[in-house]
Amino acid sequence: MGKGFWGWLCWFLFLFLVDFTIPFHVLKGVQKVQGSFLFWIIWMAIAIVSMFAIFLRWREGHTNG
Amino acid sequence: MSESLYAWLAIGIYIAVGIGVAILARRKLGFGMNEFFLGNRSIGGFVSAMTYAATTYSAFMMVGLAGLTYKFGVGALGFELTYLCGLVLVVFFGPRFWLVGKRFDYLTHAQLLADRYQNRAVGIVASLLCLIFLIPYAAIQVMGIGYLLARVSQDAISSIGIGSLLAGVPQESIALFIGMVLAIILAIVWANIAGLRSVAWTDALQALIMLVVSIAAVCFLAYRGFGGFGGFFTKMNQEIPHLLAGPGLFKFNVFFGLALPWVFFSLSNPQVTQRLFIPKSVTAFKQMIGGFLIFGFIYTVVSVLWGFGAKLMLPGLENADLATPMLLAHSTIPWAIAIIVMIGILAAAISTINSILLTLSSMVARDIYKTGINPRAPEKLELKIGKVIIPILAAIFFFFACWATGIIGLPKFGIEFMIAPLASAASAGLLMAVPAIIGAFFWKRATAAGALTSMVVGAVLVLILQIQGYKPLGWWPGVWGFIVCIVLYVVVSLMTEAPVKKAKEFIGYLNKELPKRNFI
Repeated sequence: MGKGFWGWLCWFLFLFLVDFTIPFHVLKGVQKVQGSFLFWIIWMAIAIVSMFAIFLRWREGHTNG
Repeated sequence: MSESLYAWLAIGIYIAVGIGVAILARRKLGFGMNEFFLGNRSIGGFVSAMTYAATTYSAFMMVGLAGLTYKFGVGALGFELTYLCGLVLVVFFGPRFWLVGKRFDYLTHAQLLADRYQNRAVGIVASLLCLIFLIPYAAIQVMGIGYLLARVSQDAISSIGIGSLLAGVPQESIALFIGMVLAIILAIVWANIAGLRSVAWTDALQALIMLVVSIAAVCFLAYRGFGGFGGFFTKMNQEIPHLLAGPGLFKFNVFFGLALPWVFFSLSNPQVTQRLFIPKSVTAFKQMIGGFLIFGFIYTVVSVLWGFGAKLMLPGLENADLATPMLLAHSTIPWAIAIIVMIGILAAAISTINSILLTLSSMVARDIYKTGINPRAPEKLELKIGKVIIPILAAIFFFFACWATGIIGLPKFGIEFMIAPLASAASAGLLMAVPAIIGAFFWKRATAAGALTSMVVGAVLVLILQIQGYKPLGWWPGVWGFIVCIVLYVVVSLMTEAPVKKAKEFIGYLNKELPKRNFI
């Protein structure tokens, strides 16, 4: 397991938890584009930035055997 | 010239450019299985990203997802973005696939499983799982293209007199048949010209068409229909607030049942796991993931907005799947834009079909023929079989599509009733290989018996529940199948003997190589 594996795993599990709970509970009464629609857009943007933060650190290397 | 002939002219240009790109790709074609099915593991970042996107996103987006949005509201956006977030699995597992693919010369994920578990049956079962679930899925895509082209070809058929040559056959059936034949021929040609190279290059072209066309269509809809995006959103708030509240009209179990198999799509579907073997470098791999994420984000939002646009323009449709075709026929959308959108949908479907075709052919050649039947087969023979399988599989896609549509009066063998449930169950059925795939990378104690039992029992359970239409406690077949599959994988593995030597070599290699490149 590489550096940061468990930390990132917990972060993404948290993101999935939020994905399922916020729209179904917190935003249930918000009948506007500014509700779940905006939430999911921002939520995905955060997930994308998180993934970029992980893979932008990757670098070329040499394989031995 | 009629609108129908303009549409065929546009289709003709699309086909000609696609064939030109495929022929250009052939210039780099070398020899061997890796070369034909993986582009010699040397595909650049941009083409890798675009082929990943075009393979993943089918006609479902601008038709099915738009229809889901029309019917159930904003939850469709949540469901599709949840799937996109599942790409984090590629961030975690992609480098592992890529490293062991190069080290042990894997062509498919089934071969990876067979070698890791030291059991040929694991590879064969994993391949059969893909064949069983992806053939009907591909057939549905072929049908989709058929219906799409049928709409534009009926006028042309009557104008050039084919209808009179086939007296007694409904014109609609002829048009559908011609559309499906065209889709199959294109998929075969683009897959055969240079294997993965021609598929990837044509995919890149098609991905660009899909994205540009869909953005243009939504911008057109917003500005012409509502005076801009501000007006579009205001109209949404005023007229369809019930579709914007919470998850829209989605119930939690439906949302979860839909999303769960799709979150694992990047690990369960062979046509995308095979793409984890193709980037030429770490930089290309990064570009593939980054490019796909940006593509997927934009394409998802655009498809959902298209569905909301349809709801506002045509609020009374009984069948939500008709939202896109009806919106394209609406006076707000000029026919020229409608034709371009149709080309985008066509591109999305064909790019998915030819990728599935190529990947399944490689699985038949490598995992069923070489691993299961003739382990001593030389590479030349294996490659020949892979190439011969492409048109055979395409013919199977075609006949399944014909059976499902019932257009050519084929005798009923009892298979046709399975097509729709199998296609619907594709993502859930393929999900049953996921515990075995994840365990292969992390769990030294995992065994072939555990992998086999979990895949077979899980898939059978999903099929039974899907065909019966039974959802115990309201939860979907994929959810039950996945729970049973995980439990069986763990319990049976603990009761049987693991291939310790191979597990140590496989996982040990990854543990040594991952830190060198900062992979997590």
